[in-house]
Amino acid sequence: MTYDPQSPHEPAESDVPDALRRALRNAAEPGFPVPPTVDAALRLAAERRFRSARRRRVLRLALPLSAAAAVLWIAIAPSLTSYRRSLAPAAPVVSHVRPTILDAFALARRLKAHEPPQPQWDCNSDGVVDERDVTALAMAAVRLEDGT
Amino acid sequence: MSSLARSARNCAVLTLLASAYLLLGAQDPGIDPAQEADESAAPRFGWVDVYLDSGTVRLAAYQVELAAETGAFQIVGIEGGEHAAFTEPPYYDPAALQHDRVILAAFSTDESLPAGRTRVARVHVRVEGAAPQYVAVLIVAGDADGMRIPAEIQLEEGAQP
Repeated sequence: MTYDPQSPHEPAESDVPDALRRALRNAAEPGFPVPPTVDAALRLAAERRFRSARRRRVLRLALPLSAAAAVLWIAIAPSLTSYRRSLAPAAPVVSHVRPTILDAFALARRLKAHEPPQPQWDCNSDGVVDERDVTALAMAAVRLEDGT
Repeated sequence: MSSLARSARNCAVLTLLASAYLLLGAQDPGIDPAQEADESAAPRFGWVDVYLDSGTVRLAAYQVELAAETGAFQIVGIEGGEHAAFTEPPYYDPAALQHDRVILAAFSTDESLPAGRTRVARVHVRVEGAAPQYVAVLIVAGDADGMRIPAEIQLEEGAQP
């Protein structure tokens, strides 16, 4: 047997003794003819087993991951909600978006509830937050843009 | 006179009588088309009632737009609604007066608010020519918490005698 530098792990076929080669071939053969239907059935059964094994592996991973996600969601959901609430405007904010009567109504409710006035509630920019700001918002809501 | 000549004379007489009848009928003063046209073109006054139906939810705020799909009208005045929460005239752009389009809006912070179908405003109009086809669009409606709610808008017309 000689060392082949092109294939260091596999010896060249010519180097394998004939007796060994035959013995190896016979080891994989059943020694009797196998009908094609049995062959196909065996292949199918093997494929099924591999598939179910793969499914079990995925389930084994998915279940703990889902549980971890659920626990995480339960833990952070309340803080997320409060974060969203903190982002919501505490009062109607004068912006480029045209206000509706609900903006005026929201300000009127806050004034009625004697909430501490916020600078952004001063819609008419007169330095005071009062009923006139409510009127300013309501009038902006009903204004006809083209005057007709 | 031959029978042929008699027949011809009778035909002529009948034709003359029919023509006279038609001429007299056309001069009947009761169906003067010019006068009829004058009457439809004459300015007349009426009103358009705006109703909102918020179902079981109490209505605290609304904003609607009223216009005419066909025909023309002039807004001559705006009144509030029937419920105590909306008896005050709604907000509107004064530029809408003498025009045919208006946005109406109102809210109420009262405890007592209407639910179901309620008249929220009455728009007095002056119409000339063909009767306008009014159309109204609900821009927004809100409940006592200031949340948007669905509501159905309806119009009813009335005319001054």
